Amino acid sequence: MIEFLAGNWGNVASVAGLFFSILAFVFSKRASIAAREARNATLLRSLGEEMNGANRMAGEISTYVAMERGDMALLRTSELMNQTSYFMARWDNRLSEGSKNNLLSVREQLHFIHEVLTKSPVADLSPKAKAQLAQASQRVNAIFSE
Amino acid sequence: MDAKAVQFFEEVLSKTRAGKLRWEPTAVESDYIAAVGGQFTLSVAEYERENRYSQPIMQHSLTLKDQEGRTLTRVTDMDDGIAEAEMRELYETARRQALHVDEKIESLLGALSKL
Repeated sequence: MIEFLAGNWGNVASVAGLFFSILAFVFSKRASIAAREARNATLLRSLGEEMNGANRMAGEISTYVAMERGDMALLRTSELMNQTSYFMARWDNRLSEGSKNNLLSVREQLHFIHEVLTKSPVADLSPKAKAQLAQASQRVNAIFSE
Repeated sequence: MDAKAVQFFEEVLSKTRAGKLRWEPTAVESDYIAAVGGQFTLSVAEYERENRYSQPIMQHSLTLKDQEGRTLTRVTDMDDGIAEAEMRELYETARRQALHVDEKIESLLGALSKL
């Protein structure tokens, strides 16, 4: 055995080196996967928290419209428009096309809600216009709840 | 009107006829929207304006916005190369799809048949 090692120490060292390299590669691959999964989990949690915040804000718009508090509804609408633009910029490469379409729809819906709320106080709107405003704000709420 | 804008209108009309776009109502009764490709929003609108004899007439428009909400192009039935009847058809088809008019009429017909 000693004779064999003495005669082939170079080959043995190469095989051992190869073995440890493979081992190191496997462990680094596992560590990299674990790190990626942890990062994805953190990002998903962050996205979920931001969506919950947006959902709450959308719910407040519906409530303020129902209470005819146009000023507060307008304030929340402006905030949510900014928030939606921020979402689209921040999560652009992580969202599916369907999710992006939903966010684009939300922002456009908010744009029209803003337009209606800016034109006249909610109390002065016709019953039909009030119903359309309420439906549009509920549509925004529903998209953020999905 | 430039050829690209006319092509854009024709394509939106074609996809709307085929039911490929998801039109939605908005807080404004005469406006309907659809998001496309995760990058663009389309809106169709009906509005009143006066003709040269100061009589009110209904007009229609199709607007394309980018991801940042900037208006890229707007096509109306006053533009060259855009047939008034086709623009009206686009608006009416989008409205019917957004409000699910056909499904509701089907449902009503079902209810009426049971009377």
